[in-house]
This record gives sequence, C-alpha cells and structure tokens, in this order.
Amino acid sequence: MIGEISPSIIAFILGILFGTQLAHKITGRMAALVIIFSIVGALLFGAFTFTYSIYGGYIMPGLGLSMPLITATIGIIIGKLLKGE
Amino acid sequence: MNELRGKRGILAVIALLIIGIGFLSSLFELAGNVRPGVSQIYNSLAHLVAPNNIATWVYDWRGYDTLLETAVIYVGAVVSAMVIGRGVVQMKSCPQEPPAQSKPLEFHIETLTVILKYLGLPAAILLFSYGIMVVTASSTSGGGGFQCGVIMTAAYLLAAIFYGKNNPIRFGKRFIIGIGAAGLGGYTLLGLPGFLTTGFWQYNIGADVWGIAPSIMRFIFGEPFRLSLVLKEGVFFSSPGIIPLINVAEAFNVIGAIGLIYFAFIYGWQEE
Amino acid sequence: MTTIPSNLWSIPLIVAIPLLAAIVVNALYDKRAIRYISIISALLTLGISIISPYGYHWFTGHPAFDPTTFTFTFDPGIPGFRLSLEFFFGPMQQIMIVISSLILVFCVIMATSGLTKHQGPYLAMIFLLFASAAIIIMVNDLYHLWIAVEIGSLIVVGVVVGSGTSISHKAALKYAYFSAICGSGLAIALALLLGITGFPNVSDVVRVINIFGVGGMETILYISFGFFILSWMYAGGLAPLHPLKSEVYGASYPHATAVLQAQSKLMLVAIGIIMLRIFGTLPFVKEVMIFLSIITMMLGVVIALLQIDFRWIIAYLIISHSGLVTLGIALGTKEGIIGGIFQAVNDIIYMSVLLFCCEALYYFGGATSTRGSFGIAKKSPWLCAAVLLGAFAASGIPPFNGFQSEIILIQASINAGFPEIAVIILMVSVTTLIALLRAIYRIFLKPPENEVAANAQIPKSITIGTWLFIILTIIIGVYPDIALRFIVPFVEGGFLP
Repeated sequence: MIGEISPSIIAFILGILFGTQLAHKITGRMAALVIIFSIVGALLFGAFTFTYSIYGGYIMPGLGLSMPLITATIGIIIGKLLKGE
Repeated sequence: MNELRGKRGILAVIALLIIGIGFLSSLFELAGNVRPGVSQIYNSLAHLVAPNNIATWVYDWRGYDTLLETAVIYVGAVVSAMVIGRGVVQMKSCPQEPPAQSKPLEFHIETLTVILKYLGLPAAILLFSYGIMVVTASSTSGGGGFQCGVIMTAAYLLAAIFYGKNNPIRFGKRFIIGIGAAGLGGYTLLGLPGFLTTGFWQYNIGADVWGIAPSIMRFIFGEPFRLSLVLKEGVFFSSPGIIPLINVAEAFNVIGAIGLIYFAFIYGWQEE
Repeated sequence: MTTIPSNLWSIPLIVAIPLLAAIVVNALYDKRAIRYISIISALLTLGISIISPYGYHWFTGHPAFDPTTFTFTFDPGIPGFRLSLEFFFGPMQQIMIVISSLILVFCVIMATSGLTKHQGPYLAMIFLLFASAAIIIMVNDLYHLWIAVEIGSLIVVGVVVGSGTSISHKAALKYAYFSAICGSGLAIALALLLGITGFPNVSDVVRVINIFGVGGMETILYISFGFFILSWMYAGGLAPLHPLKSEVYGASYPHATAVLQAQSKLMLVAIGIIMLRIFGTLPFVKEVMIFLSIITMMLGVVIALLQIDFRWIIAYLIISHSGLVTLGIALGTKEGIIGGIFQAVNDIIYMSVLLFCCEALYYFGGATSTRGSFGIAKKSPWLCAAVLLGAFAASGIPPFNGFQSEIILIQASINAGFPEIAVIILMVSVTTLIALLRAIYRIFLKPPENEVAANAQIPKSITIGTWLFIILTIIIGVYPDIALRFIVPFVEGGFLP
C-alpha cells in the first residue's frame, strides 16, 4: 500500500527543509558517518508494526529498517548541499 | 517568597491542604466507579481511522481541542518573547519608560572536549532525522507532532550549548517565526477541506468514517496514507486521512514556538 | 419549523478568522499591511456574527449516538451522546459576539493608529483574546471550555505584557502564576465530572446526572464545583481573587482593557451558566455564588473610591460590576439570569465608553491621575460630555442602559426573597457615580493646575467609537427590548437553540 512509502517521502522532504538550516561545513566523512549511524538507528527502532512490506523496511519477522530515519538523514545532507556555503 | 511568610503563608497552607484532601478523597471514591461513557463508542469506531488509537483520539475525535492546545504552545512562546522585548508597543502620543531589552547570554565554550566538538554536529543531525522519523510515524505508532517539535528544538539547544554563538543550526528569526506561523496556520487551514465539502470543520475527509465526503477528496487525502492491516481477524484497509498532515503542521508549530523561546532567551531579542 | 443545523457555517469562521489573523499579523511583525489585515478581519468577524443564523456546529463532523435506537445521527434535535466537539450559536451568543466584535473593530483601529511600530504580536494577542471569548460563550463541551480558559488567561498575560512597563510586567506575571493553580483546578473539576458521567459534553453530563444520578458520589460533585468556582473567580475577577484581574485591567492600554473586560464578562456568563446547568440542583451552590457576587460588588466599588488614577478607578468598577453580572446568574431564577446577562451586555458597552475616553486622555500626555487637575473640559468639551454620559450610564441613571438591567436585577432579587441584595445594588450604583464623578471633576472640570499638551489631536476612531457606544447605551436604555429579545428566548428556551 502507498501508505507505507509516503512517510519516507515526507521524511525526505522535511529533511531537505531542515538541512537548509545547517551552517557548518559537512565533510564527506561526516556525511558517511551520519548515514551509517542512521542505518544502525533504523535497525534499532525497527520497522513499525504495520509496515509489513519491503517498502516499509521489512526484512524478516522481528527485524526491519525504519526507512523514514534513513531518508530523513539523506534529505538533511542533500538540503545542506543545496544551500551550499 | 517573602509574600508567603506570616498569616498569608498559613492561610495558603490551609487552603492547599483542604484542596489536596478534597481532591485525593474524591480520587479514592472514584476508583472503580468511573463510567466509561463516550470512550466506549470512540474505541468501537477506532479501527476505522489510524492504526494508532491515541493518534485517532488526539487528532480526530478531539482534533479541534488539539488545535487550541497547539495554539496554547504558540501563544506561550509569543508571550514569553514579548516579556523580553519582542513586540512591545507604546503609545506614540505619550512617552513612557523604555521597554525592557534582553541581552544575549554569555558563552564560555573553551572547555569543550574534542569528542563533543567533533560529534556535536552529527549528533544534532541525527536528532533532526530522529525527530522527522517520529513525526512521520504519528499515525502508526507512538509519535507525533508535539514530540517531533521537542526533539528538533532539543537538537537546537544542544548545538547552542556546544557551539555558542557559532551555532551550526542557524534558525534565524524569520525562519522560526515563519515555521511557527506555517504550523499553526496549516493546522487551522486543514479544517477547511472538510468544511468546504461536508460543512463540518476539520472533518477527516481522508478517513471518511461516515461516508459523507466526496470520493475525489477521499482519494486525495486518504490514498497517500492508506495501509493494509494484516490481523488475525483478517485484512483491514484504513487510512488516517489528514492525521499525518496535521502532525507535520503540529511539529512545525512546536519547532517555531519552542525555537522562539530558546532563540530569544539564548541570543536575546534586539530590534534591528 | 426549520430544522436546526449541526454544521452551521458561521461558527468555525468566527473562531478561525481571528486565529488566522493573529498568526498572520504576528508573522508580519512590523509591516504596514498589519493595519489593513487586522481591520478587515475584525470587520469580517463582525459581519459574520450579525448575519449568521442560529444552530450547532459539530467540529470534526462525528455524529451523535442515540442510545435508544443504537444508531448514529446528525440531527441535533435528537438527544444523543455527542461524539464531536459541540459549539452552539444562539441569540444570546449572537448579541454577545456582535458587541465584542464591535469593540474589537474599534480596538484594532485605535491600536494600529496609536501604537508604535512593532505591533504584530500585540495585535495577535488582541485577536486571540476575542477568539477565546467567542469560544467560551459558544462552547458546549467541558474539555474545550478548559482549554479556552487556559489560552484565555495566557493571552491576557500577553496583552498586558505588550505595554512593556514594569507595572504591567508585575501584573502579568502574577496573573500567569495564578493561572497555573486555577487552570489546573478547572482541569481537575472536569476530570472528576468526566469520571462520574463519562461524557465531556455539557448537555450529556447534565442528562447523565439527571437520568442515572451520580451513584452516591455527591461529594465528588461538590469538590468539582469548588474547583469550578475557583476558576470562575479567577477568569472573571471575582473576590477574593479580584486584585489579579483589576491590576490586569489597570496596567494595560484602555483600548485593550475594553476587549479584556468584554472577555471577562463573557467568561463569567458562560462558566456561570454551565455551573447552573450542572450543579444548579445541589443545595448551597447558589448561595455560594450569591455570596461571592455580593463581596465582589462591594469590594470593587469601595476600592474604586480609594484609587487616584482614572484607569484604576475604571478597573475596580469593572470588577464591581462583574459582581452584578454574576449575581443575576447566581440567583438562578429566569428573571435573575435575564438580568445578569443583560447587565453583562450593558456593562461591556458603557465600560467601553469610559475606556475609550480614558484612551483619549493619552493624547493629552496621559493625564489620568486624579492628583493633578488638567481642565480637559475646556480643551475638548465633547470628550468631557462623553465621559459624563458614560458615567451616568455606568451608575444606572435613566435613560441609559445600565438603569434597565439594574432594575431587572433589583426586581429579581426582591422576587427571590433577598430585598437586602436590592439595597446593595442601589448602593453600588450610587458609589459608582461618586467614584467616577470625583475623578471626572479633577481631570476634566476643575480649573487646570497642571500643563497638558495644548494642541492634542484625538483620533477620529476614538471619537466615533465613544459616541457610537453612547448612542447604543441610550438606544438600549430607551428600548431595552432591542437587547432583551436576544436574551429572553435563550433563557426561556433552556439555554440551547
């Protein structure tokens, strides 16, 4: 169902919005670090009960990725790149 | 607290004791005797809206209450900023004492450890994305606009503590005021689609529990968030409708409100 | 007979337009567009409240549950349990909101022309103040009532703080401090009522209590009533919490005080009627309310006599006259309630006259202290005439409106078996006149000893506003039916349209 992917898209858009508010320089290393952390975080928070599909980040019973966390992080970095410095 | 010494203090204590005893005794009396009333009806209808029952209560059954709750936060922030000088007015014709202007806090950030200095920014970014994740999960699990706003502004405060004036999150005056206005204004205006099509302000046209919304509106507001619920009893399809959008607006409002308080109290408010 | 709608179009607009206006003007902050946006929004609200029909609005559009047939219905005529938040707009709501929005219009015009540049947040507070008053008078839901009282008290703080003086800061912070106690007290009262009945809607609560009783939990009802009274005292400025509200009135600009006092009166009427509906049958409830009203009336007017500033005299008179409003409601008879609500309407009007005149004094350099004598009558005879007429209306002298409502109140209290109260009402009227005339003599009539601005220009908005409201006092004074035909059907129809 489309309701499983739209949170990730909203998270991405919000990420871009708030990414434009960052002032310090973000190096490539820092971006990679943040994305890795967000994937680890997404595993910890898990897929939500109802996102029982591959879009929602379902991997196997009891294990899933919280996709909005990852897309939000990517969005923030893209937003920062768009704004430039 | 000087005013509470002597007779006044004794009176206040006696009054508080009476209130406390009255309140606690009524709680004891109520225990086990609470009438469920309207909550039974709400719960029996809950499966028709968002999977998260609390989100349905807060943003649909009592959604208009929450609008005013949101406005309370907004007003609280505007008033707090007014206390330290934002938007103080005077009569043009009659000069008065000059209004109070607040100075920014003084920062001493030399003592920051290396780890904090280098991990402060990534931590703020991750808190940002955590906040965004929380708001997008409003209708399916624990989460929502209030929490998102608090987390995001916590990131702002954290960055302000680490980096002082050189804050990597540069929420400017205009951004904070704008996002707060967009949030509360957006929440208010989300009542409009329901009002224009069904006559009921803030009717959840996406979920359309009572089947009174036009199908095109139900499609526009309902489809993007429709979920299939795979339960033991079978597969159900439900849409939280406008609840996720309200939550985003709510988050914007809380970011604007708490951000304004932090901004004004940390960096002071000077008219340019 | 036409059916009453459950989705009346005007109710959401009366609330949403001021709310949106507040958001926009706060965001614009110091732009010139603020003036136009706020005046247009205020006029729109006034227009909508004038042309609106009567009915209900069920916010979020959920129907009522009819327990006799186990069906859901959108017909408000069927006594079902309301699933949505219910507002109602009847004749009493109409007259209250029309007059408040008329005051709002003039307040906004005066504020935008007379104040310094950064007026966005201040005007936002004034709009929200009106919105909270309109919500409180229309709402039929306990939980929403609480939120409206809560946001109302916060906004009062904002309006007062907006003037930026140290006195206003002190008054505002005191008021905010007590809102923590009284606001949560009201929340507890509602929680207890919700616990024993299970419904947040006032009509449903009343129905459940009448049909099923409270199951031997009368004490809880009394405790809930106690907390209700606390918030009533706080929101409306009744004794012994009157210093909080009088400081608020005295410390803010007079145009804002006009809206503030309208909001207080609406709160007093709305909460008072809800208390009568829920607790009216309990013993001692009306006696407590009457006692509080009498103390407020007497204390307010006596303290007003001691004041040395015109603003503060008016502030304490507003408090004292709030006691008149609540007295009528507390009597609990139809006549008394009609008198109380009518008094609220009249009070809002004549106090606005006095406050607008007080605002005009700012254009003479803020000559409001009764210690000096400024001889303003010579410089502006029309202003002096206006303030005298306002004072006569406030003291209940015929042919002004104050007379009409006070005579109803006096009759109601004699009919209810309290001739003593009638005497107190008369005493309040006379003392009001003395307090006002003393100040008016010193400021306006006495030969000048102090210098004031010689070529002061009073803005047209103040002059028009003052005289419009004076005309209203005379019209209502001569033809009281013009207001009573809104109030009597409301009281006789059992408070709901």
